[in-house]
Amino acid sequence: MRSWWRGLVMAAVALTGIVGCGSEAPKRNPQASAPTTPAPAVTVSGAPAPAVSSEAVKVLSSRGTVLIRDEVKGGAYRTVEKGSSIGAGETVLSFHDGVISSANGKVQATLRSDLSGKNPLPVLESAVATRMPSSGVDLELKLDRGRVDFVNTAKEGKVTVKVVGPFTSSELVLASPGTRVEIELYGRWLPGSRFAALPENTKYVPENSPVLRWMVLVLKGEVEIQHPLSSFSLKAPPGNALIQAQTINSERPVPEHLDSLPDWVNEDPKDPEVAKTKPALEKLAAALASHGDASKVFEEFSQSKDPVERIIAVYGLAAIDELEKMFVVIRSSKQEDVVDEGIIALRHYLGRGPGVDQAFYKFLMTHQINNQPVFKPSQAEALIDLVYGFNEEQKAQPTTYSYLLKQLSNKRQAFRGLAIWHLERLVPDGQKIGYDPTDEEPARELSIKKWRDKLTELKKLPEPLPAAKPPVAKPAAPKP
Amino acid sequence: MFCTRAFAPALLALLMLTGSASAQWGGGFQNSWLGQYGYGYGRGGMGGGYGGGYGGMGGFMPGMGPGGYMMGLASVTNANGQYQMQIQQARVEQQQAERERYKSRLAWDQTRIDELKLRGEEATASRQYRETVRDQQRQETLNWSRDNPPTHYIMSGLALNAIMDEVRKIQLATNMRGPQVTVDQDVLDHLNVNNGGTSGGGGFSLIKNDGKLNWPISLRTSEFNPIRQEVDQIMGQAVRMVKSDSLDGDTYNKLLAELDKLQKAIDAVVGDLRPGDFILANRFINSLNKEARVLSDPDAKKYFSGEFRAQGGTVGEVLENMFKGGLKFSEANDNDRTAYNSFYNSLMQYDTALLQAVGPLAGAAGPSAPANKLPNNPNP
Repeated sequence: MRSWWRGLVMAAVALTGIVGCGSEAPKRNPQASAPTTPAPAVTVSGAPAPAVSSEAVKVLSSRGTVLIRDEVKGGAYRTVEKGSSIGAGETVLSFHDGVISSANGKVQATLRSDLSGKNPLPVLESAVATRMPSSGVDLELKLDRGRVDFVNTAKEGKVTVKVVGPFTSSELVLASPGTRVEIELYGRWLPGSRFAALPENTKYVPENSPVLRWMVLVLKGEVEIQHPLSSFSLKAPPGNALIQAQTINSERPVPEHLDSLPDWVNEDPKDPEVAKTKPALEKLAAALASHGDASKVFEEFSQSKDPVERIIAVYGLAAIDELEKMFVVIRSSKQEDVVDEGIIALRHYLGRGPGVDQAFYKFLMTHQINNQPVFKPSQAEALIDLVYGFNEEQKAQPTTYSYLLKQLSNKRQAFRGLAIWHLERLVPDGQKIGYDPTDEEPARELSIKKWRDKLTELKKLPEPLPAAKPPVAKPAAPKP
Repeated sequence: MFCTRAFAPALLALLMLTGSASAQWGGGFQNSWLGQYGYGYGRGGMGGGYGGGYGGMGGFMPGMGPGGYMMGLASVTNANGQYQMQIQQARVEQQQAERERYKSRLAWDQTRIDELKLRGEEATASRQYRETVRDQQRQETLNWSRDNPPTHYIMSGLALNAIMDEVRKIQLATNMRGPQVTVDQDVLDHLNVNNGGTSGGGGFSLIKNDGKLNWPISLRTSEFNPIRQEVDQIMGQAVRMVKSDSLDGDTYNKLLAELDKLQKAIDAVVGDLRPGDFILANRFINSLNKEARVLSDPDAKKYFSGEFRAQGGTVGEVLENMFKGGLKFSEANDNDRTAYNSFYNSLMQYDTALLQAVGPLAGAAGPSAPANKLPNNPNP
């Protein structure tokens, strides 16, 4: 995959909504319509915000740069005007530099994306959920995914930002005006993970959730991180500027010294990867601003001749939880990149946070084509496992390749698409074979044979069993 | 052994890699997170490898004369220029001659190799090359086995065998032994061994308990009940016959036929199976097929009589018994994983202590010993 696509992929991933606070299963409201007129102020109830007291954050960037929707009720995302007040309990999603500020104006938060693909965590879109600030806190947000840069915009003194994560929360004290710190959160199911359908009231813990990685990097000034278990003092480079960890199998985080800021921190407009993707994202923001209905915009993008726009479409639909539409786009597209990137989008989607896998399973179980259910429970489980992929031990197993080869003949396109997606990555030699999961069966059979030959040639398939040797008759015991 | 096949080409590839594979961030710190997901990008290899060779033409240095133009005399300049040209010409000719000599040497080597081939001698440059490659692979395998190996290295028996072979080499060379590291009988019971290849490399893992099979969960569903019962019945019968030296061709063939039916049954439902379940089920059937074929081996009875079994109260005793019996560790099945990990840790404890005790005597067998330099491949 070309690197700028990869970068885009990373970037596009997130979108929100579905996971809420981690244990909240997504609830989508198909009847909800996306307003096409500006919504100057929105509260939890959806009514215009009458008073400043209900304001959690204010939108500072232009219309089309952020999308919002009710964090718990879900529904369609909608655009808001610059200067709009947002109440608590709203999910704020941005693909490209959406800016919000605290109600008191002392903290600004920019929802960043990574256009160059250089960011250590593959972030293309970012999402937060708004909260009314706790006592002594200037801005409080639940970080759903992605990268958020916070800046102390107070005239003087420190400001405090409370960042709520899926399992814990921290307070960041930005020491003085101009202090800038970025925080990132990104999750993935590890290859070889096994999906398990959980009861409705399951409490989510790191062990039944994707592995979430987070990092805090001070870009300017000094920041104190106050966590229930420990506190850290960080300062911009040169100094202890970075702290990072993950939710499982992680050592206790320790501040890391940096001599200077990494080059991925600031987007370089001259970077070829940025130059390729930025116009498409700006077009997206403009389209969202004028149209208002995000899913329609992404559907239009999916028909584009520009591959960047097609990829944005797939990621965008996953990001706003329009899985049904994303599946239709993938299923009906003859563009290889749409299928290929669609699977990556799905992997990003499932890694968003606790409970997303459960929501996806429910979606698969209710997914229908021509009013017929598509998947049995065992098939839905198998599909999710396939999306997660194979761990190192499985990759070393010849039976893994047998499985993938057999899945190329599966009557369900989703399995065929996933199988070839893995095979082409596990065995790059086979990429030129040109198997297309959307082809009719006779055409597929031809390329399946080529795949079998290739895997045999590379000794990836189980070795033939040794020839059976009939037992040798034992000499009869001498008769007494 | 699938593992050997799977990583041997990788090891060769590693030999040819140079430099570090780690990604650098700007700002001077490394990204230790990337590469954890997806398919990774390989691993930093050993420096050198096949590099080297001729070197380039090089050596052409215009302006070598020390400021001749400053003399202001054209004739002198010309003379100096001619002198430089002559020098350069001489160098070119010398390099050409070198190359010709090298070519002729190669041609001579090839002639010699051809001659030796014709004479049927194995002690040729090709053989040395192959041996060196094998040595390097063994060394690489050993290094990997000692240094936090991937799980499949341990579960395939590969890491255990690599370390065991090295321990034996050290013990033979130094007559020293490692410390007393005890091994529980529970662990020993789960270690699978074979006779080192004389019966096709196979041994018994799944059927070692008198043919009683511990079926993987994905094959315990009702749709597999009939075929599972058939296999259970015929396998038990075959093992009983092996133990009494009375296995007949009919029973043996029926067993293989039932296993074939089992494979076809699982292939028929592959579309509904989760990848992990299919992998486990197929590995089980594949292993079962291999073990069934060993039943006809004249030595098969010894696996059930305890003659071919890991035995001893300590790591040292287990290894000693393995050496004496010419046994190797074979693949773990899914019930043996804990035992294999446990024994690997004990073996590493023994091996590390032995290396420390032996010290310099270990020579090239040391954990950080570089692989031998690979000669040029005479038959690329």
